[in-house]
Amino acid sequence: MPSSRVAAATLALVLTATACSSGASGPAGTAEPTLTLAVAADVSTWDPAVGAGGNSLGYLQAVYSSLTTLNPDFSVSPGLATRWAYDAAKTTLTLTLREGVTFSDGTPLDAEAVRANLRRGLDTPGATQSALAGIADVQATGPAEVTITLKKPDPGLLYQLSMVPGMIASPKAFATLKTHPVGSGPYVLDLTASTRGTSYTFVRNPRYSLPTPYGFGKVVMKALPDTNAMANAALSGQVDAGGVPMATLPQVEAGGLAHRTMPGLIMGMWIVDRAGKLAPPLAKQKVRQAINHGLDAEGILKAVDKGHGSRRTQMFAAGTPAYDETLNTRYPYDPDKARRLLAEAGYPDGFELTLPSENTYVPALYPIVAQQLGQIGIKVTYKPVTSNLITQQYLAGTYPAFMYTYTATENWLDASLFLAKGGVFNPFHTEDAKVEGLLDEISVADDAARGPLLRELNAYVVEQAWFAPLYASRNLLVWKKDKVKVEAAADQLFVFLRDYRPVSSS
Amino acid sequence: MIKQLSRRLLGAAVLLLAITAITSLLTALVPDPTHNLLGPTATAEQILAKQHELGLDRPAGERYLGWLAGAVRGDLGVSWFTGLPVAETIAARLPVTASLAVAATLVSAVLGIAFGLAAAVRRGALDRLLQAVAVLGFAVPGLWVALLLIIVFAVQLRWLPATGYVAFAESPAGWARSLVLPVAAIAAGSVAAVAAQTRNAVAAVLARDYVRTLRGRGLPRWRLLLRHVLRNAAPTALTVVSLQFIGLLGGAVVVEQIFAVNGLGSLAAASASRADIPVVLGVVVVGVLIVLTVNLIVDLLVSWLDPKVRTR
Repeated sequence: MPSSRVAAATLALVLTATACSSGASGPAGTAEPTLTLAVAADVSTWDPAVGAGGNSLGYLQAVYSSLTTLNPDFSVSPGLATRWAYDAAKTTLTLTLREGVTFSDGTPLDAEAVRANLRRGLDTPGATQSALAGIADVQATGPAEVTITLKKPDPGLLYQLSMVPGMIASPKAFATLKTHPVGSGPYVLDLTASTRGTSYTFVRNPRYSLPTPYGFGKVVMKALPDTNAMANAALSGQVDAGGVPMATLPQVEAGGLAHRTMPGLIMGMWIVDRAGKLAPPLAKQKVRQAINHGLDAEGILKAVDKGHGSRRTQMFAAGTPAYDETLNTRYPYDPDKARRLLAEAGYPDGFELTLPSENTYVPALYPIVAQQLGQIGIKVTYKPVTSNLITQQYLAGTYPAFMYTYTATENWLDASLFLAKGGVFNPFHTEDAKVEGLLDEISVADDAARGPLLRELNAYVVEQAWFAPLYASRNLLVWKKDKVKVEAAADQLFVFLRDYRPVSSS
Repeated sequence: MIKQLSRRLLGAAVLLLAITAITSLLTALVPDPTHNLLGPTATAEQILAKQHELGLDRPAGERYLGWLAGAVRGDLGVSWFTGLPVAETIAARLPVTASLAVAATLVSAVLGIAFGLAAAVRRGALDRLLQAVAVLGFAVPGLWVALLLIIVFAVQLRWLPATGYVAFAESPAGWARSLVLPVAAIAAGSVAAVAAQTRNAVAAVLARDYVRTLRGRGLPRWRLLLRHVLRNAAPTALTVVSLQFIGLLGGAVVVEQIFAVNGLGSLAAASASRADIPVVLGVVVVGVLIVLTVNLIVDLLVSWLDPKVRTR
């Protein structure tokens, strides 16, 4: 619940931001507006090879361009790569690079630079390494052509190449990237005008040559980890835009700020011990379904997130091919049915279950869950876990189930993480023939066939009740309407730097 | 005086060694941070390599001696998480905390001593009012005061910034503006503490025989108060002020968070929660040095003000 909640709040709000004051000078000497963005956390590293969570994505996108560009529907369009093609077996991906691109230090971008970056990501422990884990080899097969060989088909690779793992840094700057980024993105970091940990100033990169336009001459990103501080900064006009707690909606409206809600995190129980190694009852489908029926998701949503969210029974993001709205009615709150299912599974008197708890992210959740599961006969005992060890312990197979918040993104990526046998979020590495078979089919399916297969996978997992999702929360993005326009689709999960435009521009 | 100073400096060095040694040994009990550093997908070999790189495969005592050897040369190591030198990281945060702590201490000292002196001399309604306000000052949490100040002066009136710290070198006026609200929030409680202690100390001195004698000899009132009463009451006030200052170094975390100013307090909290040991040790060293320095200065001031102390 830890990092994920923070990361999600981040991912969704990454680039909430900012202030438009005049300042930087445009190419023709005209003053260009400055954008001041509030970001939910400090940047964790400037080195894309190490990889960074959602909190850092916005910072890195200012200075680096990635091989592909993410679209709101999770498809990708050209970035540093203008074309790409898979072979028939979908295990070889050939990228054709954009010509004339130069890093901000003057080094030209070529196939060797891309190969060196991807190789570095594969050899450096961290999030990038795990994102690129499906890559067997990378070769520069021409001055502007890179060939990636995969261990097996990976439909999520092009998505990964649009995010931090696909960001390309100047090879000359590898040794110092952790603190001094050098990329080919729209801006360069002005360290003299930045205060590490607090505020980062970006000025236009004169060598930027990609077609995506950025309307601000200067961008300032302020790290405001405290949600109240972020709200106060937005309400007092210190930043032009930012993500603020949903609870501040009345003040936001009274203050005349523009706003929109954005998809947030999926909150729920991850029943990871599906084979019943630590908790034998969880091996039974009816027990897992009983947990789904036994938790009052609507009530928990009201108690924990003040009702700002919507009921979910599935783990995939709304608007993605796998998502099926009709599934959300599959497990209505029904403690009687839950008790019946437990009895049918052979547990008429319930059973004891040890779960982890934390007191940093959603402390209010734990007593409610224990009380509701207690009502259907499952006696929950909590073992407190310190906040910085949550992900480590949850993913180490220490607990049969845990409450967790998750930012669902691209379907294949999510399925690989928490459904596949080798998935990091499948800590017991439970294997299911049906799921593995569907994943194999999806991995080589064409675009038309992939959607129905993903929906079939989703429906199967919901019926198996591998999770007990409760609801998807909402986040609030606010901005000064007289200075900033947010050009993003209605239910877009990420609002990126490129989506902010000065009001003065067309 | 020189003998006293040498003794104090020697004691300070021993204390610094002891505290850093204990902190270092305590950090050996912290769960291994390499998993958090490398992420959930790190292999066993990668974790071993990282542990070796960070020195976590060496005994705690050996690690401490290695750190100490660097520290005496001014090298406090490198943050395990950011890769930045610890000294540089602390140097970036120190001016923030120092600005907050010094400004809040000055405000509480000046206002606290003035209020305390006035209450002790005037007595009556003023004294009772001060005591009531002091109780209120103790009772109201700084967090609440901070939020109230932000809502009124930043969100509604927009006179002052709600968040952030502006470096003095960047803009002296901006620096002052960025300090007003956090300093007011911090000082609200400490003014009350200093005023209450000063009031009691001054009242005790005023009741002494020699004060009555001096008053009887016709000494001007202001001279009596400043030269004789306040000088004798000053050690108490100074001690309270120094304790407030020291408390601010680490205790301003909440205020730092609300105003989004990144000082030593938030650095210590963040580093401790993710087990960034080199930074934790660096903050401890700097914190201990500041406390020892402040205590030394206060002791010297007190012994200058009160000759009896020197003879002890």
